[in-house]
Amino acid sequence: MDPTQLVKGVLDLAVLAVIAREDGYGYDVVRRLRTAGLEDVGDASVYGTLRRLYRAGALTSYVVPSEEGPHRKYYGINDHGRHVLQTQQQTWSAFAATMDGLLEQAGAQG
Amino acid sequence: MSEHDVVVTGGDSRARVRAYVAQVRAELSDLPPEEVEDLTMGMEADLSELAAESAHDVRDHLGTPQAYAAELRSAAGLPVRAPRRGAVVGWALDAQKWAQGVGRSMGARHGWLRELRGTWWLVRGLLIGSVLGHLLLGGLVWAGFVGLVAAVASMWLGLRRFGWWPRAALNAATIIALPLAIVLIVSAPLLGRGSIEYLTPEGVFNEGVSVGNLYAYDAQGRRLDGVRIFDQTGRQVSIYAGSAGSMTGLSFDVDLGAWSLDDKPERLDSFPVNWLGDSAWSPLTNWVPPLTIVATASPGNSSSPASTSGQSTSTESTSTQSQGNATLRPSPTSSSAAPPGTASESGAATPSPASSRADRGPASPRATSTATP
Repeated sequence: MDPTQLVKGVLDLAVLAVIAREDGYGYDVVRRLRTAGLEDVGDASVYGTLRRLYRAGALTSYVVPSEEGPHRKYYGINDHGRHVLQTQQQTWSAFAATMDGLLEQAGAQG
Repeated sequence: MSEHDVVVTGGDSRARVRAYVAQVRAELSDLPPEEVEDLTMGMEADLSELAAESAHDVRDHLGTPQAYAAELRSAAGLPVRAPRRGAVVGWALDAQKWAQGVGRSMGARHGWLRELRGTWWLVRGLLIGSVLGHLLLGGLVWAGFVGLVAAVASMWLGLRRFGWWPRAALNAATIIALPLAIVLIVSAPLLGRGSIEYLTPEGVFNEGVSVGNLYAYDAQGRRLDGVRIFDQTGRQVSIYAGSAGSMTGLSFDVDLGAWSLDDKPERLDSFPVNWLGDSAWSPLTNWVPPLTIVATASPGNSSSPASTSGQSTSTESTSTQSQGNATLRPSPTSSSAAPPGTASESGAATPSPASSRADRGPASPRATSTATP
């Protein structure tokens, strides 16, 4: 099974979870996701997801000027984002439980 | 890695990062500028960090800018890149985008401009319609009519808010029509004055010059009186009295709206016409109609020897071309067919052979030859 395809389905949830803990800029989010174990997450996918969540009103955004070199763009979660995170978490939990159950049955039969 | 090395690679990779970001931005160029800015803002800082962390080039890590941009779009829920267009279409779209932007900012800054749009719709329709009407159908009436119809249509288009391109096409057409309209308006009085000359003139013309009288000769070169001439459609050729006015000294009667002709009708169709009351053959200009002219050389007509011998015109004809020999000798038989004006003119000193009677009608040459002896 291709982990990249799996990650795509839950990237919104993963990104929201990372940002909910602490504000972060694009590459920072990528790095934290990879550190957490999502090795196959694509840089551009994370940036795109951040952008989409921001447009959906789940994230706030602010620019931190840099004294040397280009500015950084930070993202933070807001109330709507937290609500989305909560809802998606429940969906994920239910889905994961269903899958676990399915796989347990398969394991018992096999 | 020494501090010196870091600086060198850092500077080198920063340029590469900047180039990479520029390429990604280029891939997103079809999106609104603010969208591209949002998507790529902070990207340079992030990629610099990535480049600093790894010894590899950003490309090795992120793939081609094209692939990166595609992934970015897909994750951000943006449409895939629109198919690349030709240079001209691209230029037109840029121009349209620019014009729209200017229009919006102008409209926002000066509210009264928006209120003028209705007027503009009317004016552009009127302009295009009248130019088209004038060019295709001709005349100011058509220009006005088509202009009004187009003005209504343009107003309707404006209110219906169609896509940008019909409006852009219409506005472009207006820009083209504007100089044409100015030219037409400026030249309209000139055209109006000139059009009088295009009216079909009355009367008979010979090489563009008004004909005041017609003098007919038969095949033997003899004068013919009371000749009536028909054109190919069966209409009788008649001379408008006005044509001869300048030559005969007739005056234009304003009350009658016609040339004053005393007892003569306005149109005369039996030739030669007796204008002066003297004789039909008296000169109107300084040219004196000769008594006879050279006989036609065609074998069909010269085959009647009686006519030539009877009058001996063949020998005389060359000399009659000169004005001196052209004595006035009206045919006595002309009275029977001549119009009222010429009817009084029958006092002939030298009666010419009676050939004119035979020639008057649609008689054949053979009839002439039998009549002469």
